[in-house]
Amino acid sequence: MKNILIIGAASYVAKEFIKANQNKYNLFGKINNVGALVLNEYKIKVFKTFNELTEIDFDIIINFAYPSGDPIDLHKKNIEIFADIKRQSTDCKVIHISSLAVFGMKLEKDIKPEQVKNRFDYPYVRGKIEMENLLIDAKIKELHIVRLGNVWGPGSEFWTYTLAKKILFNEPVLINSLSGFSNVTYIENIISYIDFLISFEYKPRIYYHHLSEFSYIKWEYWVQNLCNLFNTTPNMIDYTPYYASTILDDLKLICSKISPKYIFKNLLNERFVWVTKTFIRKAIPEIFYNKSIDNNFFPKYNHELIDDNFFNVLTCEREFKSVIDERWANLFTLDEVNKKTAAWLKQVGF
Amino acid sequence: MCKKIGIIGCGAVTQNNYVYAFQRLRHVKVGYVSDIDKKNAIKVKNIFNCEISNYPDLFKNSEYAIIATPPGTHFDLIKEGLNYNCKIICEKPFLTKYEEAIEIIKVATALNKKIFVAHFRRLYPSVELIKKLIEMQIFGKILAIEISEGGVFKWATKSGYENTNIFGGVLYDTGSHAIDMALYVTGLDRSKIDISIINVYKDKKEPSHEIKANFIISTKVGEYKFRIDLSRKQILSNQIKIKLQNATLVLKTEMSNQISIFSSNKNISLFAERSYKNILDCFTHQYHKILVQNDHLIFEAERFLNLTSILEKISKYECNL
Repeated sequence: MKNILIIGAASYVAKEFIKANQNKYNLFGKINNVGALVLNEYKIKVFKTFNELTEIDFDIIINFAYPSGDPIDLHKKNIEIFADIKRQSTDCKVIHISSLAVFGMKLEKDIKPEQVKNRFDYPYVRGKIEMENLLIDAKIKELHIVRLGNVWGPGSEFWTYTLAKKILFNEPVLINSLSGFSNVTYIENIISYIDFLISFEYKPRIYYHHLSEFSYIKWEYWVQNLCNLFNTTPNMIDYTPYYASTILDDLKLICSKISPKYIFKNLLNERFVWVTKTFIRKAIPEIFYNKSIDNNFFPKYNHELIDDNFFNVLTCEREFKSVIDERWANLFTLDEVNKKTAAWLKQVGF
Repeated sequence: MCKKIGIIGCGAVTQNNYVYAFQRLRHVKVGYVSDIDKKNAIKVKNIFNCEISNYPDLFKNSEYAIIATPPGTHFDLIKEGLNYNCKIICEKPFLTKYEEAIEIIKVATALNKKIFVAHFRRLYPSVELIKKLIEMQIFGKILAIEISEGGVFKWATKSGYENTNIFGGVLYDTGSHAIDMALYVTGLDRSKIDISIINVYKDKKEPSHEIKANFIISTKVGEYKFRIDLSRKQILSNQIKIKLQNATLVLKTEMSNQISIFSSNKNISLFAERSYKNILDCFTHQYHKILVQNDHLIFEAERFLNLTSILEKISKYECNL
């Protein structure tokens, strides 16, 4: 049996991988402080530090971890994750799970299966690109960078759960006449593809994989499916989500409305280029926020802030096509995906 | 004049929530803190610029004593606090045994003293709105209640009691909040009730991280089916469904000013006028009501007896693991 080290083992996709492969491989997991709770029913040896792992020779390392939390610590956290990988990866295959977001939230950068240069962007995007580059520069013998599309299916908190909840509470989910490519990849297909990469022999070098087997399907389709399930109709709005293309866009936005203290705070903590309305919204006192609503600075939808990035993804006009090893075939078809997703939604109380 | 507050327990809840709240409330000053972990006590003491105190002195010198320790310690601390003049506010969940809760309330009543329980979700705008709708009785009688709350556990406690203390599981943590929301909006926190457990599933002995339970609450006016699904391991729908004769009312378990109403042919959303900037502002508002406005009826300990009984019965229910 192969020894596999999983970094970020308590994350969503990692947990699904462990659930599916616990009897097939010897699994070892590196987690943060609270992750053990999520994994205690699976056959995996879990560690918080690497001291106990030094004597194990790993065949494969899979990295699911990425820096979250305060953006000011992003680089530091990336270096910590990278050090974990580097320490154990003397002669083994490394599979790094990344995201389509390395090409921008609206996929405005050239989508190519190759290295992406570090750049200023949202913290999540910046973190993902930086980790890819740390691994590329580390000259790992066999490195697979797997950029996932938008993950859909049972347990998908970011897309399936969020959309279901928004639909149930009649929140806006679609913009009139602008339904973007969903660029979806199904969770069990991801697990199957990772397993394929583990079991297949490759020559030592860097490989880029883009996994988005349902990329061509528009968001409208998934939304309508959920609406049918809940016997409701989608709330569609006329709205143009905010998306700054240059640093000037952001600076204009910040400087026109916010005090110097907040300009400084945003530039220091959050980013150099991007500042979301959500971030600014959190920083301003209620009294000014209410005034800004009166002035139509923030769109007024029952005092709930429209999530610009949610709509930026849902109106994405570019397709993130799969670039995969053609010897792998989708395990789950669209029909099966819909059935499994519907069953899961029912099971968790929707 | 400033009201002097003492806080027992300087762990994660105090460092995150109480620090935020008491730095914002006027006419309230934290004068004393106490914790068996000295590092935590010193940390909070430095934030509030107050004194570290032992329990008796804290009770003696405070106008209000807040108990923010793990639930298994609440009974002894409240009992001791009742020997002093201070009013007591107990962080949720109130007590772990129904009999102890009855005993404590009897003692407090005999001494003409008040105990409050901090359950700030009662102030969620969606909770206030749905409660009003149910009280208006326009949708008919309540038939059943479904509670589903779960997500991957990310709350790092200072003591780690969620894995070691039998009251540190998902039931007393998340469940006490979610079940209380359901009892409060339906008025079942005030009725005299009987509880019949139908079945309980747990992932392990307490502290368990996943629980499913079915039970029936009977009052003199009717019977209500309850279904509960709680998890620290996976995302659940995070909503409470109140099934009535003519519609189903749905609210989110997270803070919101919005509810949904499903009838046979329509689904509409309603919005409460009130909204908070963030969840800690709602938490702070709870203390503003209790300490500053003296508007504390909904936080009186008697209103949490039914919750205590339900939690105890589910917790002690012997199920196949």
